[in-house]
Amino acid sequence: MSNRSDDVERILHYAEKRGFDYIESRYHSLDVQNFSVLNGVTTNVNFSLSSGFSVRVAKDNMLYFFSSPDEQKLKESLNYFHPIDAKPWTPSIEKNENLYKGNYEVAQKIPLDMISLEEKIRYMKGVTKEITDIKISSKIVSFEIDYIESMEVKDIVTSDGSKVHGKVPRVWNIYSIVMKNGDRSINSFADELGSSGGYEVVNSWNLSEYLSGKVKSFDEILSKGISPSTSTQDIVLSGQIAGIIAHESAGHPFEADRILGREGAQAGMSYLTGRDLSSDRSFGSEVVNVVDDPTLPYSMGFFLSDDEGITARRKFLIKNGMIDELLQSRITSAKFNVRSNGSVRASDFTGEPLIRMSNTFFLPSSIKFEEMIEDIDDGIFMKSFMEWNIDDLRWSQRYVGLEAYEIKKGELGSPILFPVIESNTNKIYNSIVAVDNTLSFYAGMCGKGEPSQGVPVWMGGPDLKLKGIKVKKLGD
Amino acid sequence: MEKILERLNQTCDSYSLSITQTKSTMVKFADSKVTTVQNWNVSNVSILLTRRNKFLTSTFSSIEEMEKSLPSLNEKLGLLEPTELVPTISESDKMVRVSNTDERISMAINDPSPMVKIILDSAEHPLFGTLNLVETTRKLVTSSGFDGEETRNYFVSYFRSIDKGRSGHWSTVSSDYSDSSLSSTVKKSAEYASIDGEATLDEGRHDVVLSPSVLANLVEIIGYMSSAYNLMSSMSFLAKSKPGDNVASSKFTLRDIPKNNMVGSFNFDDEGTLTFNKPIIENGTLKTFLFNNSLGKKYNAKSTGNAGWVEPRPWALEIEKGDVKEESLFDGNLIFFNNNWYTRLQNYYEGQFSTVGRDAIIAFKDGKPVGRIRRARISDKLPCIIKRIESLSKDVYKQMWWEIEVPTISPFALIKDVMITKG
Repeated sequence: MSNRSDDVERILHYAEKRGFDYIESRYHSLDVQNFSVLNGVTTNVNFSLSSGFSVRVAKDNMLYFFSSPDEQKLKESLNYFHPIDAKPWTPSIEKNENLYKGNYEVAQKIPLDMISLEEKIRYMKGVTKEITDIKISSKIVSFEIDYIESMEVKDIVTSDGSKVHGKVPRVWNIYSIVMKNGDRSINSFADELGSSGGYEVVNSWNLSEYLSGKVKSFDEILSKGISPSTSTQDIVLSGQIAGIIAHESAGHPFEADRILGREGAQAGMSYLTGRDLSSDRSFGSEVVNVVDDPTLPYSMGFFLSDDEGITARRKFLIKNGMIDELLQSRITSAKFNVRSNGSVRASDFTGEPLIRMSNTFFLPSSIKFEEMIEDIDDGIFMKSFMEWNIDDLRWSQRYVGLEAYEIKKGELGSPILFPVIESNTNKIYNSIVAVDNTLSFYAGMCGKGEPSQGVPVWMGGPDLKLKGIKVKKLGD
Repeated sequence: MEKILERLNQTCDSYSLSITQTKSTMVKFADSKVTTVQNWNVSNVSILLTRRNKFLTSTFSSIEEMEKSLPSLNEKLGLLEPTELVPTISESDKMVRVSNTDERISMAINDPSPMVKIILDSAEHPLFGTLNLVETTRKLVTSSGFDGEETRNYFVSYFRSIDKGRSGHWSTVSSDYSDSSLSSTVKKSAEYASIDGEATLDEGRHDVVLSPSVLANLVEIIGYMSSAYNLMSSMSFLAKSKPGDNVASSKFTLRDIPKNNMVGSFNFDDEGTLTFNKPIIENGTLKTFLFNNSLGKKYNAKSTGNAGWVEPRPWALEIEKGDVKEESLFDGNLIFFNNNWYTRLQNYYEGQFSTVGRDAIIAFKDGKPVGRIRRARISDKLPCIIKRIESLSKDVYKQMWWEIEVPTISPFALIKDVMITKG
């Protein structure tokens, strides 16, 4: 255990003397190094260290959360605390037997501190030069790369016996591109490249090749893109779009706290709110399988214990088209007559632990992409997206294509300008007729809670084939 | 502290040290019950170090952590390559001391129970929402001798009332606490929740009335787009314009107002420049981007007191009130958006976006509400939204909530021919 495990134990014992029914004590640090290169110029070099303690306690099912970087101030807050005279929302706090006791860590094949900051900046400037030197007909108006690496360390103890030490390094790249060709422009702001691990993650990106591909593809869209036909057609969505769909319309609405209304005034509720899951678990077509799995090695959303000290595991949210399991915490499980499945995280020491997704994705099948599109006479392949959103019940959702192509007689064709899919969860999940044998993951920062907490996740899946989806033009 | 400053003077060409200490309590409600009481006693210690065309910034949770890290930060700074754009500390050795606090807010941070009672007693329907009480002291010292300290407190509250599946939303933020402001925020959310009936809507262009909350959410993006950093990165539709250009309806004036009565004042920026209220867009004309010293120099302008060492940002925003009574805006056939969320852009350079309506989306016919519309989006361009502003209400409201991070004073707005889509 780390040298902080004694600190969190001490805080736990301090709180225990004050007669609380349940206590979690957490030390949480995030050591971040990031920089930005905009149009070849270094515009930002930053180091930040967020580290401190939090303690969450329950008294008669009323939850109180205290946070401070300073142990003494935290104890003072506990001393000055006034119980609230109001009805608690929480029905009970679960005492769970599936407690995590031990250490977990993501190994770095090439430790992040083995590569100097200057070398990392030089590398990103080199990538910028390669990208801006590409001969294309469009003009690159602006190109920015943000590099972020972090080390997250947590020590957690709970009054029922969890004892956790976790250490997860992560590397993340964000890029934005603005390109222009005549009256047309295209803009990408993307954060899809990210994993836990060491600098080997950066090497695995082949960033120059990856971003060159993007820029050439955007150039082709600007110079040759045609408007989509606004009709109902068969569409194929890439693993990237499958990922955002899984995250937004399967992951979020399966968060038990959201279903119960705990985030009602913020991130909203769920289409499952009020539904009797004991009598009806039907959801989508039987080829649909969606899981949330924090145990995926080298994933952005990796953890082996959640922040309530419960052992993490893979959860099937949707199995063969049927609702299987929700994301649960110690404070929601009783309402559903189940046990917590270890789905709780906080973004840093100031954050209340909440039910969060980890790595949420459709499972693949054995069909090849070519086989999946061979019977499509006239359709669309949407490869990437920019604009997206969903309503606060997670029902009506919109995805606007960035890179998209015609499918003509079973083959990919011309680029298409920004097709729009605006549909609902029922229609989308019931229109999926096939998933292929690929599986790709995309990084993201998932927001929830008040104050808003961003936690790193992966989203992904295979390519999905949907039958009979209405496509609109952007602006219509 | 003096030892730290002495060491900084010895090792850097210039520095700026910002220390923010915050005590706050947040009570969250769901279904008229308290879900959690959160209490923070935290610090944010940020430092800018520059040396010979090199710089770095760093943030810590305590002064002790920063002090421990100073030797390694200095070493890292030494190893960096020079860059063209280095944050510049203002040549100011002013001392600023401002304290603007409301004792009722300070006391409630330790014991929010009386305010919780007012909130729950005001609720007519199941209530969801947040009461946030914040007291913050921000200190800034720079290598030029600037020494600033401001203490302020404020409260933010927003509520969603839900009545038989119908919801309504309202929010407020103020540095002056009053019981009535808290209870009227709850009641206003209930008013919108009580509007009954169902209406249908065809996709296409409609006249809309945006609530202060929806207008503030969209204008906050424009506020950030006016940052000179976003001018430099072209992540803004304003990057195609220059001061003096017409970018909006003549009815539209947007100001950055660091001197305000919402969250108290931000009296100095992170470079030691004194702040001041200023129009960003005035009567439809772009007046200025938001600059810090280095971006001001790059664009032949002066700092507008909006540093951000790297990225200038708005402190607080005000959309100037109009000359129309609130109820007059609703004359005719139109769609009213009480609230929105999940605003996302397809193209920052063009301002192409969509946002999802939530809570009360109401169809008005001949000036009368005829029912609620389910699931509608505004899918348009930000420059078109501010160009098509037809009229603004006389009354303005202070807005801040989960989807509005920059406190904003905003009226109701009637906007013509807005694209509405459904899914």
